[in-house]
Formats: sequence, C-alpha cells, structure tokens
Amino acid sequence: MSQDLQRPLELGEVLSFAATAAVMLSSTLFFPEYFWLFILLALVEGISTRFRTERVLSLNRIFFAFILILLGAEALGLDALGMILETVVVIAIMDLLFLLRRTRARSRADFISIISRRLNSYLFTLFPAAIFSVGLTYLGTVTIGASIGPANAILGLGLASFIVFLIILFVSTRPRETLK
Amino acid sequence: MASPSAARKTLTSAKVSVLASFAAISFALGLLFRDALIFAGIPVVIYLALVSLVRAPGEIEVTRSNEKSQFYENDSTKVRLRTTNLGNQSIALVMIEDQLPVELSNGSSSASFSFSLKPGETRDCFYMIKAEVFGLYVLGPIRTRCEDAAGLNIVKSIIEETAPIVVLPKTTERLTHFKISPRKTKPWPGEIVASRVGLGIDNYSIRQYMPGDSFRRINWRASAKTAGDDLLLNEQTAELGADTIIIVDARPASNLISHDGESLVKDSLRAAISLSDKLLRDRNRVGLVTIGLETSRLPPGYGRRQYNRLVLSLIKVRAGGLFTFENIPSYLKYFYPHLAQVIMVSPLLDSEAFIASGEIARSGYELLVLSPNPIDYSSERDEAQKKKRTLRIARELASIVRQNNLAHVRESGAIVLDWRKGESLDFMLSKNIRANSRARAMRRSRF
Repeated sequence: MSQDLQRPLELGEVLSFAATAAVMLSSTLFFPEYFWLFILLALVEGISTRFRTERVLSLNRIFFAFILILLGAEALGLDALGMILETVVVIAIMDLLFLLRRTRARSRADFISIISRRLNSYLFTLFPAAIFSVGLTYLGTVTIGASIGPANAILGLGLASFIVFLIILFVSTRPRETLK
Repeated sequence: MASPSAARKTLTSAKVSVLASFAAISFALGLLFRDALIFAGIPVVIYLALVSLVRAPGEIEVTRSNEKSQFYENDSTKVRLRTTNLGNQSIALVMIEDQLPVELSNGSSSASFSFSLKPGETRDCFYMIKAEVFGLYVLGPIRTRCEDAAGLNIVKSIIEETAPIVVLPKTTERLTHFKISPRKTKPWPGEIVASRVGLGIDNYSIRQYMPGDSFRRINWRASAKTAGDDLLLNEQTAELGADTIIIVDARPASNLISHDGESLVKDSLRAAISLSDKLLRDRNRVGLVTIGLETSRLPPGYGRRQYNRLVLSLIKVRAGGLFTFENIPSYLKYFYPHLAQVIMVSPLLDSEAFIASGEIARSGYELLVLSPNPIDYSSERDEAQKKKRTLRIARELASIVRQNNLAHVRESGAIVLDWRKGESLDFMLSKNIRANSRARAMRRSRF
C-alpha cells in the first residue's frame, strides 16, 4: 500500500480525475441547489484518486451517475426522450472516464487510438441503443398505447425490458475459463 | 523463445452488473413513482444486448528480454516486452503489466502499458529497472488484460515467464594490504610466506650447489668467501596457498539497520565479497558458509569461477531464517578438518555467536573474526538525541560489555577485529592483523 502511494500518479489517472471533477462541477449549472453534493463528490474523487482507493472511487462515480439521472427525472422533469438521451450520455461519459483512468498509454498515438476505438464502438452500441429505445417508446406509448392505454403500455415495455435484461445477465456473467 | 504458459480467463466486465443493476433500480423506481425514470433502463438493456453480440478479444503472446541480466547496484537496465496479437481480429485495448520486485521498481515509472493491436501486429514496450540494493531478483509473471471495443468482454491471463536479475554490489572495497598468514598451508603456489624452502622471493638459507641446480641462484659473493671451490646457492622461502572458509552471520539477531538506512548484514556481505576477492587473488581456495534466510554452503575452490559462485551466493543472502551457529564448529570439523584459516563476519551480538567463535578457535583453526560494531548501527536519530545523557551512558555500557566479550574470544586464540562503521576495511584489516602477528611472534619467542 505505502509503495503504491509513493508512486506518482499516472497521466491517465490525473486526466480521469480532472475530467470527472469538471463533469461534477459543471453539473451544478443544471442543478444549482445541489451544488454542495457535487463539490463533495468531486472532493471524494480527488482523495480517492490520490490514495488509489479504487473501490471508493468506483462507488463515488456510480453514485454520481445515478444521482444525475435521478435528478434529471425529478428536478428537471425530463420526459421519456430526455431520460433516454440523458442515460446514454451519462453512460458514455462514465465509460470514457473509467477508461481514461485505466489507460497506461506511453505515447499520444496509443492514447488517441484507445480513445478513438472506444468512441467508434459507441456507433454500434450506444447510438443504436438510443435509437431503438426511442423507437420502442414511441411504439409503446403511441401505437400500442392507443389500444391498451399508455400506462399499461409503459408497464408492459418495462417488464419486457427487465426480462431481456435478466436473460442477458445470465448469459453474459457466466465465466468461461480455459487453461492453456 | 519458448511460448510461456498462461492461465487464461475470459469474463465480462463489472460494468455489466452495474448497468444491469441500474436498469433494474430505475425501472423499479419509475414504476413506483409512475414517472419518466422508467425509461432510463430501456437504453441500458438494449445497450447490453448489443454489446453481448461483440466477440471476445483473441489471444496474445508476450515475451520479455532484458538488456542485461547482471548489473551493479544503482545502475539501471532496459527491459523489453514484446506483445503479438495471434488472433485474426484487432484488440481495442491491451493492458500488460510486468510484476517487479519492490527493490527494482524505482518509483518513477511502472511496468504497465496500454495500447491497441491490429491482427498479427507486434508491439515492443520498454521500461527501465533500477536496483538500489544488491541481490538476486526475479521479474514476472506478466499480467495481461485484453478488452473488446466496448470494454465488456475481457480476457485476463497471467503469463508465467520469469527472468532472474542479478544485482551485484557496486562499492565492495578492493583490499590491497590484507594478507593472511596461517600456519597450515597447501602445496600449491600462493602468497603466504611459509617457513620452508620453495619457490618464492625472500631468502631462506644458503646450501651447497648440487649438479642440476640453476646457475642463476648461485650466491657468488658467499661462494668466494669459502675456503674450497664449493659453490653456494641461495634458497628461497616457499610462497604457498591455503584453504580458507568465510562464515557470514545473517541471522535475524544480527540484522541491525542504522538511522541512515544502512544494514549491518549488507555491510557484512560487502566485506565478505571483498575478502573472498582478495583471498582468491592470492591463490587461496575459498569456501563459504552463510547463516541467514538463503543459507548456502560452498566448498573451497579456486579462481574467477569460484568468485562468481561466492558472489552469487552472498547476494542471495537475506537476514532471517532459523539456522543457528551451534552446528558450525562441528560442521567445520567434520567436512574441513585441514582448513588453514576461518574468517567469520559477525557482529557477535549474542552468546551463541561468542560460543561458536570460541569453539572454532579452540578446535585448532586459525580464526579471524571481523565484527562490524553493532553500536554504530543503533537507531539514534539526531545530534540532540546523541547528546542525551541516558543514551550516552547506555552506549558506553554497551561498548564496555562488547570489549569485554571480544577480549574473551581473543583469549581463545582468535584474532578479533572490531570494525567501526565508516572505517576503511582494508586499512583496519591490515593494521590489526600486523599488530596481532607481532604480538603472536613475541609470545612465541618468549616461550
């Protein structure tokens, strides 16, 4: 632990902290009444970066992302489209920030390559996810909602999403170990 | 290079669990409060579904090569990690980390790298290692982590490729004036002036010329003074080698660290390296017995190869272990009954060390005890603490006890040298051994 603390921070760790703190502090523009919470989260981020407490840092960021989406729904009163877009943007930002933290690129070319590959991946993961979500919501609330009622359509859509999620979780979290 | 064995594990990132939990919570909360939060889970579920279609990254091969596998302390060397993508798809993120011992990681840089790899691409990464302390270290194993473009499918592996690194002590003092003069010698040529006729430099006696003797050795002046026609010849004293053994005490009791971080055991090891170098240069056979964590026993041997063996054994020694001094006198008696000289490097801190050294000397071996002064390695921090009355008295008492104990060992016939920290080893050895030899010669002439 002490040996790890003596080692200076890597560039990726510093950049990740700076970007996270910037995102946290800029969130006060949207939610000025909760500025103290974001400052507190930025402080925790700084301390956990300095002392390399990975668990605290991860929990802090996850909490921040969740709070952001919760406040988006409650304080800003975002509609379905707004919520979908906010969720996608928050996932992209958090994913990039975590990636930045783990990156130990020794050259600018490597760094740009890693980041650009991740950004490219959003074209076939997050972007279609946002489009499908908007489409499904439209289908659920306007087309199907007209026959069974919007409240029931939302409930049905949510339940269907939850079942799909459980299936994905079951399939994807099975560790596949091979020993060469 | 042979392909190193690797334990490969394919798994999904913790991100999946976090996102899935988020989707469930947002759905539950949205359902509870009947608001737009219910929609936050939908893109997450679709995102996870799409990401599960992405294939896991392929296999990579990592090999290590060192610029130098042997270098001196405070020097540095470059290490190369060569990574090759063996699969037919590109890997968005490859992270490799070489496990370094604490003594080799210089603090300013780490041996971890991140990059992307195209199919079949090979990438070389370099890092420097710097050794602050001499010893035998091992680099590796290498940990790798490959991620797909989305960062959800991860392949982790540990490549069991290790590389030994030998860090030699840089500042071992080269002894020039130190010489041993044991009574028992061996028949091979060396630097010990023996009290018998042989090939050497110093004159021993004059005898009558015999046919076959070299003309160059005839003492013409002495021959001219003889009454007859007899020719007289100079005879020289033999210069011979001897069997020696060095015993190094690295028991936990002897492991004192001074306030400036200098270790008594490390200084003892440096002294042992200097001594073995000098003894081997003087064409003696040198063996080694170390008592510490990496205990080793090397039989006496000659030359540079033996020196390398001794140094390798000495740099491996770490303070610690459960071995005691008790068996050393019987070990010497059993395996090396005709040793000429035993050199023991020990701070003589406990009764066990005193008893063992006395026993060795009484067994008929010529014992030289090089004893680094443990009081110099006490943990006083600054000048103010040094001037404290209680500490001063404690130091003086400890010094008296030590001198008394050393005098007891001397009575058993051993030469005991109290080596103060910072004192030149060569100067101290030559000064004390000369004085001891004179005292011994005087004692012999008296009887």
